[in-house]
Amino acid sequence: MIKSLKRRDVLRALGTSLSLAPFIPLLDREAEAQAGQFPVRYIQFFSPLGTWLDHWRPQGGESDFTLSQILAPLEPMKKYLTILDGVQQSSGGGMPPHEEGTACSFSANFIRSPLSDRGPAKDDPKVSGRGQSLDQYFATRLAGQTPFKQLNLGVTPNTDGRIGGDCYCSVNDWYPIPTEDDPSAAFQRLFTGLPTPIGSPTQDPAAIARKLAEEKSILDLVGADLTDLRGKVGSSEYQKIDQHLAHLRALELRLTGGANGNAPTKEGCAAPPKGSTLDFKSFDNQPMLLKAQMDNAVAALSCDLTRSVVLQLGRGGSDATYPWLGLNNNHHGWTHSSPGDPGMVASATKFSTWCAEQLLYLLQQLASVKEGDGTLLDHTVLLWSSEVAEGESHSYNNMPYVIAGGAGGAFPTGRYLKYKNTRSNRLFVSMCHAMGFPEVEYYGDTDAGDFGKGPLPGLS
Amino acid sequence: MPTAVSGAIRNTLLHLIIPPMLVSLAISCVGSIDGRSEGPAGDASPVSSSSPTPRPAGGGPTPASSENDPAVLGKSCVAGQVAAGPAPLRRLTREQYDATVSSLVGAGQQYAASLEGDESIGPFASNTLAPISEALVEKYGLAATSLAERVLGALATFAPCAAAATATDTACFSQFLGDFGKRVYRRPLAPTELGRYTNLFSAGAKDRSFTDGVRLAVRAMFQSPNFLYHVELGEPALTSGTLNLARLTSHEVAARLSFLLWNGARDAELQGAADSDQLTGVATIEAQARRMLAAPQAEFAIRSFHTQLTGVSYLEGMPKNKDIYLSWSPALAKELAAEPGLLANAVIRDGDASLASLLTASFGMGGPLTAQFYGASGSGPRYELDPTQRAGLLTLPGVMAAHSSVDQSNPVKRAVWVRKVLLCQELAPPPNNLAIQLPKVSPNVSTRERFRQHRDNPVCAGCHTLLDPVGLGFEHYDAIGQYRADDAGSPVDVTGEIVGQPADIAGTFNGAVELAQKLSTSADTRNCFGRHWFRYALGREPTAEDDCARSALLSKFEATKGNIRELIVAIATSDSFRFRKVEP
Repeated sequence: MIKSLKRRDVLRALGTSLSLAPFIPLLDREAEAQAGQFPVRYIQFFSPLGTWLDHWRPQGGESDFTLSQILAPLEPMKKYLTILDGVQQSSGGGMPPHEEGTACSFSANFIRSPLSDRGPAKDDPKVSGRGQSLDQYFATRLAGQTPFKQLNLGVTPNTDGRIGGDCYCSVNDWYPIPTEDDPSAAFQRLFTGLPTPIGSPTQDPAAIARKLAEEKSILDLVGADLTDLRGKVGSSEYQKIDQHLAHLRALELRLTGGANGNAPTKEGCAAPPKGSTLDFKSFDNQPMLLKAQMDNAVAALSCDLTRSVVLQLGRGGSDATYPWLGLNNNHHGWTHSSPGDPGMVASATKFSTWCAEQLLYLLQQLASVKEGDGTLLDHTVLLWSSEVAEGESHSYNNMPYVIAGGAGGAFPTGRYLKYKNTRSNRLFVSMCHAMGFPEVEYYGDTDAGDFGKGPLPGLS
Repeated sequence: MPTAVSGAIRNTLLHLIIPPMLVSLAISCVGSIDGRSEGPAGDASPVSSSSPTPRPAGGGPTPASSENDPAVLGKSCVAGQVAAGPAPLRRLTREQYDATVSSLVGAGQQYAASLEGDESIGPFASNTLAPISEALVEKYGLAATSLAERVLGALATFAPCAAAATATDTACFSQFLGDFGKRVYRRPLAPTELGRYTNLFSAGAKDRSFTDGVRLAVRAMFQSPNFLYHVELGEPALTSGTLNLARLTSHEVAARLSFLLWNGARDAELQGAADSDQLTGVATIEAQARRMLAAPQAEFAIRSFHTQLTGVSYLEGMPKNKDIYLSWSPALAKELAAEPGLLANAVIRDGDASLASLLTASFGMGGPLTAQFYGASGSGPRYELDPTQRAGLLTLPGVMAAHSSVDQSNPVKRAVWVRKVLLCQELAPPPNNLAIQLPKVSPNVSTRERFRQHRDNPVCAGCHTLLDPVGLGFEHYDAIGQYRADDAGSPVDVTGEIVGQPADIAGTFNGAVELAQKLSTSADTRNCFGRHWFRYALGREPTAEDDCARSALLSKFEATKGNIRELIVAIATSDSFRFRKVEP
């Protein structure tokens, strides 16, 4: 299924096979890889409306535990799992739980999104955070080291076409960042170059140099227009223009920065087959769509195109149906059908179990990519969560957190850890440490105070 | 009504699906309200042990009356003093993007599905706040590349001189910029901009052809902020009282008119009025607005407004239970989603244009599937319906279907739509310390019982006594908007009540047709509708600086007995439309 692709081919496809300027971080990265040190990659895996905890919670002790019904499909990857029970999601409150929960799920935000009309405001004296989810934080910290700072891949057939409040788990400056829901568009972005494919079949250096110069000229003109505009608007508009300019610079860097035409072929770098033309609005297609997005993610990570990936299945409070599971009513609806209703419990269990099966596929794909003496899975830390622990009650208290992957050896895996109301801020601090930022002592906005300080106890 | 939920309705409520905003409210009422754990890690602090003070929820919705009442808004206005709110830098919505590029390079351009979703101002799309994402910048770049090929494919129509132009023909390129460039930027390009494009053209055309130069230029144009954003800067500032104001240029007013009435398209006459700087005075703007409103292109804007207002935009993608609703299909959903736009056009452009007609008309509009759905005879597109069964926008099948669950009607969703969208009421949010961990409710407690508990618990009753009795009035319409006389074997009970606001129509009613008639007479409905058109026209919420302009246009709307055409003209000629507040 996955066709092997030499790193050189990928770089060429990206238009980086010929240099305009040296791109030092890329060289560092190659050197790092040659020395056998692989960077840790982060995957943020979101599935909506929680789980059913009685069928999710493992039985047994820290290392001698049995996976429950929902997590049972992950048995082949058990030694890569770290299951956290009793960690409480920090959030500000005041917003509808699905919107708020999604925005907080990987960020421990205290305040509302600027797009929401509820909850405490940014100028609340208790707020001193960045309003950033982990994927965005790592993107910021790792900017310039990979062609893409971050990838935001989704499966969301039931979109109403509005980004609305906060139903994306990737959050930057408190704004929700929409997912790319079309796997073929994601494929095109990753593997065929932008804004137009540059890899000329002629490989005529002069022609390619001219092409790159022209692409740069277009970006420069757009940038000049933006700069002119900045001089004419009020200061409240600067953020929009400055962000737009920053994105143009990132594009330009990606276009011209890949310096090393003779970059060593990275072992295991593989692109998925050319993106399919699946209808990404179809509920029936969700399994294929998620698989295609996972293939995109694994390929991007294996080629070190990025180190921070979001895979978001549905939005918080999703109204999706899952026809292949026989779940033909909308998800949010049946979670509230009737409290404690056995039918609802069965549905939630069925859906969550299916999610675990999908995660198994992702982990197996990561494990199939060799990196030095290990695999890409050894050098990945994946965090799976949702916007609420259980859809029925909107509980934030026992979030069904599962960590998967070797995390570069940051902590021992194959464990089941029990907590009581420990704040998610601390889990996120641990994630920062695993990603190579040991100086991080606190993550998220400040409503958790001292309770949110430091890494998750007992993890490392 | 509140104490008599019928058996048939109880059945409906058993699987009631409540919108996210209200869901915790509904559930909290059978559980406990709790506080958020603040205990240290590892501390056993059962959540239910804290004793929070729930936010008082008995207040219910904020009445919209004063916020949109022309008399209140106009209290301290000084005749002749100009005032207007700001003009935030807005990115084109997805619909505006497609419509605009279609008007520029040829009909049928469809990029919306590949672009990221829009933000909302009320029910309408408008991108005023969030900065652009990196992925979207790239997508605009991709779209520009394909649009450039469209332009090159018909270059002679955009620049007649192109056929004979050589790679160094900057004079021909200047002609192209002067026409096509001006239409993309929605104003003539400044000298420095012309210089930049000429340089880009020359770099692309060098040693190649004229079209290679044009290609680069067009790709840049469609990525420029002057195309992607509504740039509304105005003439140098003037002072009015304590306000710094700028009067929009004729080109900017032309752009506002074209987005308000034709979704971004323009014709030679509008372009001519902008080029000759005629669009700074009220009289000329009014003449253009009336002309444009009467033109066929206005169909698009009327359709867009009402499609968004009624929430049917994504009906095609909404799941409905196939086992229950055998007739439901994407093709039917598409027709039903088009009906609000067709009905609104029939009333506003071809009818008496009154808000009352829009809310009470007893005809349907659509193709053969719609006719079949209604069981109507005739070849369409208009079908006369039983006036005791259908009334205007409210009871359109698509509208009812959009505000329903997958497998049944949804009184709460329907009531929320009436209160929030038709009446502009702000529903109180659920208390922010709602039950996070709930005791399981025994399955033998009936839904009716649970709803009674809702009403008995003041935390819930604040909203639910306002919602349930309104929403249950729509019970004649099932989850796909089919009319039904019976539900679960018993006649449908559609008695309802408007509790509290709006005061002028509060009281009991029998069914949605009567509810629609009541709403059509309420000042709150009229003023709310005026607020919606203001939002749609300006892509933002009104601010205090708009009070006087809004007071004037809402008074006009009232004086014309709710004439929607007059409302639109009044907005287009208002200070808010012609000026902007200059912010430091």
